Amino acid sequence: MEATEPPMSTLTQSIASRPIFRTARFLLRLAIAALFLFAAITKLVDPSSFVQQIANYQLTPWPATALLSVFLPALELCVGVCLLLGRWESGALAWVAILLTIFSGALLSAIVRGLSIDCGCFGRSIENTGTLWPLIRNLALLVVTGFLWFSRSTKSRPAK
Amino acid sequence: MTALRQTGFILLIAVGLAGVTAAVHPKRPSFLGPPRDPNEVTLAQTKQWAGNILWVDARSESEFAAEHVPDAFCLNFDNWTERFPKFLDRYNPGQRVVVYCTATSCQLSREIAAKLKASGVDDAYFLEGGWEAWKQQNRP
Amino acid sequence: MRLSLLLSLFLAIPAFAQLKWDTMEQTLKSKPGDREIVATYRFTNTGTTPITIDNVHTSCGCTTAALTKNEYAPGESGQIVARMEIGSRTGHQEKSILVTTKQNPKAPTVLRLVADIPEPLVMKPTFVMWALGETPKAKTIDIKVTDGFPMKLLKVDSDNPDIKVEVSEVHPGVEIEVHITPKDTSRPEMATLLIRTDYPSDNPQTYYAYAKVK
Repeated sequence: MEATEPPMSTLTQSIASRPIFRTARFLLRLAIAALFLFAAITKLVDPSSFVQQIANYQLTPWPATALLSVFLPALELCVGVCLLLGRWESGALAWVAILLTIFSGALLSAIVRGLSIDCGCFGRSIENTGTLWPLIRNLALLVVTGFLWFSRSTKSRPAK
Repeated sequence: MTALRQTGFILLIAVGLAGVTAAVHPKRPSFLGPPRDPNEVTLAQTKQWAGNILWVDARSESEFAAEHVPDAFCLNFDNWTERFPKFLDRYNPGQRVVVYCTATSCQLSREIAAKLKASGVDDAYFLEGGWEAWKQQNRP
Repeated sequence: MRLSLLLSLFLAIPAFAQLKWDTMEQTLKSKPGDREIVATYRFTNTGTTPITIDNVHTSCGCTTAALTKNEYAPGESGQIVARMEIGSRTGHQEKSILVTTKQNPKAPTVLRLVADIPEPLVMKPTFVMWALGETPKAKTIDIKVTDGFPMKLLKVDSDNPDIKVEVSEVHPGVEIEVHITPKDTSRPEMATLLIRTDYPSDNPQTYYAYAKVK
């Protein structure tokens, strides 16, 4: 272990080295990889329809929206591949956290602004049930990401 | 390699991949502007047509009664059967019909314009921004 | 203000459990000739305190939602009957009903009514016009029953003897061409064409097309 790393407590060490823990961790990492790969591929197949979905959030001007529609899936793909192969795990996990935070922020903003597909007849104080569930899901994923980050093995912990 | 370096490399690869996608993907988005429905018109375009426009209000009759574009004709999905023959009294082939409803988020104008087109009104359009846009431009 | 709304939304989520709905979204199909689509949403107060439903608001003037009473004791059930007027709507329609309770005003329930309204036939166009003085040549309206629809076109009449109709069958009962000829175009005339069908058998529908000289 590097001298500059905060030493893991003996309790954490003993938990982290148990096979069940390692298997669980491995499966969770693959699950997030699969999620991001799936998300990336479905978007990369048709960026022109994904761009409309971003536009619906009414958060970005058009040129940025168009750029995001190709950049976000590309980033998701890279992150998914890294997590799948177990390479550059720290970097990939950092991007997962950043992406999840950005998506959650966008969803939150949509909820607060009451973006709805009807004629706006409800006014702006109603939650659109279509955006609440993804938000809850993202927050759960953030928790899993945090777990993966803090339980990285010494091998994938990069030297400072 | 530090975590920071890793994030940097991933970013670079993603940017590269995005660039390639933007350049060659057959379904790449247009970077100039959002795809425009050919039947949508802006208020500015209607000003150019001035004089030969038949305005159609797709909102409810009570909203129409409260305020509407001068000389507009109320036609919606609830009164269509009774009102369409009267619409034909007012409509002359060659006239441009512009349908509006409350605002951009409202889809009724698009739907009524489509129904008019399907009925045989060739020049049927819907107004971007709806009544709210018209009100803003036409009030001192 | 918006932040407190958001927080109350999250905090109110457990309180949602008080009104339990049998179903919050219903998909219904209509028949030609139906004037409205009716959906009933049943609920039960599964909480330990009474609930007062103080507002039921729909996303469209075409949809009304009725309640028999507002107060529901714990364990009591009730229902909201939503009626969507069909009018001239066709295809896929989605309407929402917002139910607000006095106890949880910031956490309303959204009920959804999804309607599938068939379009039994397609008329192209639905009207024909001649200008005054224009040659009174025949103009055609093409009428076709939607594929697989159990409707037969029976006959087409004009309510104005000065505007005549002649029907040629492309596919008897299913696709026809209506040739419309005005006697002359010297003065304004108007005719309503009645297209009679045999469907549904208990309420056969008549559709309308229009011919005008103006």
